[in-house]
Amino acid sequence: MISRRRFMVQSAAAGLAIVFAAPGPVQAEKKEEAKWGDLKGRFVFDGKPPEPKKLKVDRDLECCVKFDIRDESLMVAADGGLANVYVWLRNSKASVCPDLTQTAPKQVVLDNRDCIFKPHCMAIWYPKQQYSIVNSDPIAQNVAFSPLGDTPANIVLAVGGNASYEFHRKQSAPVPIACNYHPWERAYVLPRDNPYVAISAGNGRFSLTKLPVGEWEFQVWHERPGWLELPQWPKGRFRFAIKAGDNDLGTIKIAPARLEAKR
Amino acid sequence: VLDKYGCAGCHTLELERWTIAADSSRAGRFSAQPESVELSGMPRLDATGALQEEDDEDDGPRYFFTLWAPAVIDGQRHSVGDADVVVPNARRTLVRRAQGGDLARELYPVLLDDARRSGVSVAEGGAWGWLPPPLVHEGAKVEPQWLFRFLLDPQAIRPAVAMRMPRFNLSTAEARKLTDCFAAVAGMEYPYTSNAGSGTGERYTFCKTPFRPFRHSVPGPFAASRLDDAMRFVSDRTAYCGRCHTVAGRAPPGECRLLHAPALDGVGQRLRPEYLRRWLADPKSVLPYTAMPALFPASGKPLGQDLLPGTSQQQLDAVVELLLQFDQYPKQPMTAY
Repeated sequence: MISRRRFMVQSAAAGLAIVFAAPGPVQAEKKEEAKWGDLKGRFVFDGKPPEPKKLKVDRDLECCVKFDIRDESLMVAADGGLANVYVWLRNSKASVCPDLTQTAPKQVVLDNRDCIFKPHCMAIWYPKQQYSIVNSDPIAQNVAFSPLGDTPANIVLAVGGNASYEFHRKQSAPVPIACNYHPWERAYVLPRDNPYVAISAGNGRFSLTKLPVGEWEFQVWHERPGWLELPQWPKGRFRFAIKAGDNDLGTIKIAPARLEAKR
Repeated sequence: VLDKYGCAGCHTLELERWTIAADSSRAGRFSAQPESVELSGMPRLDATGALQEEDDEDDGPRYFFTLWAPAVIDGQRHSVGDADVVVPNARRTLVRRAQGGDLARELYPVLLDDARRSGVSVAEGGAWGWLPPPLVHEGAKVEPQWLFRFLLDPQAIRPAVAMRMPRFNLSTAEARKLTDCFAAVAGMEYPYTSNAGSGTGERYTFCKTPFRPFRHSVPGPFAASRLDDAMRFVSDRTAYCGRCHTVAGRAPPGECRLLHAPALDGVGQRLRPEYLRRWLADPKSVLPYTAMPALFPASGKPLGQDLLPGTSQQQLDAVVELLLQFDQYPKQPMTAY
């Protein structure tokens, strides 16, 4: 028979053992956090910000002429922030943080609005997200794109119309989208098989969140030159060792000559 | 005649062909799997005119091939108009270059660049529509009498095209040889035209008057009101045919000729009825690089119900019928047919 005192001691020891053997929720969370890191940075146009060229609008004037439609191929903020630079993880074998699976929006929407495509640059995690195309304009629209090795799309959208498209393979560069009705319209979509794609915002900042810890290769792309090459980034690629928590690439200055359209 | 006039300088006469080896990782899955398969069509080019390459992973580059003829690859059927075939370089065992069309291929990146610099956005491959077309399916596409006349006296068809077909001053015998040649290569039935063996000794006549009054694509009477509905659809400049095509002399909106498509008025004389139907039903399955959308989708909700009510099939019937007799349509009494 066990004495009461001995039982108390044994129980306490067992409890302590449980506490130390199995991590509690806080510890598990910390352990999970140690697996992932964020990569951020800022692209800056190293020159005088150019004024986007006004595009010729010669169709559906009753609707479109009231909008200030400009060339969106080089969007630079007053302080030099360079928008619409894609940065993505090249390696598809990287594991994906479960948080991203839960929080990723179900749909990525391309809108025909104000006689242009909105947004101008987008990405889709195609196995998880649906690609939806809508027409918010009071005029008919067309959406045409042809991803490499995937089904070509040439969709007529009546007023108020909508459509969906299913990607079947990842692309190694953003896919241009055109409108055969309105030649000034252009957009890009990058389908990938993981969520690790960032597009720099109007201020030039980008952030790739919850990347797996480890050394990875990243691809940088802009619609003017394609691969955004720097002396240290041949073919627009760089390697970076992601550590848990924040990782900062700092400010990346891009000389205007590197943003010349290539032929 | 083709050699004499250098037709192959601008036009592709034979498409490129790639032989690709069977996927060894799938060996044994298909009992009758051939060791290789030949693809016929056009390799996808990038904006510089170079072979489009993908090297996203580290297992060597991949290329993309647009089929102009169906193929069965690794037990899977690929149709014309479907996704480009992805070809790993390691599986590409033989390349037979296209015959002809060198100038078109040289001009492709130049036109694409010009368009983009002038603010015109085009879908990938769209610039092929501004160049002299491949002639590989010409005999199945056009009416022999139309082709005969065109060869003798070329007229502008596509406003977007960057080069015009010159007048070569062919003799009627040469024009006849070419017309027959294209029809024969395409496997058309002989004789190639209904007035073959006429008393003139010429199978084709060079005349300005319409040579074909009516050819119904749908058996039996066709309601005049149905043609009126089809005309509303065809002449609509907001979303449908009139958006890009000149209809009854009325040009499409916009100044950019690169997005202007051929006038529809003469289509019934130019195109074979069976080709016209296939083309309208699924343009990409006929001409993979075309910018023309499928306006009569086989699945999904039919378009333009306010203009031309009915199923996609019924809409297609009506539009084919209208286009085949477009020149005569306005002259018909409304109760005819």
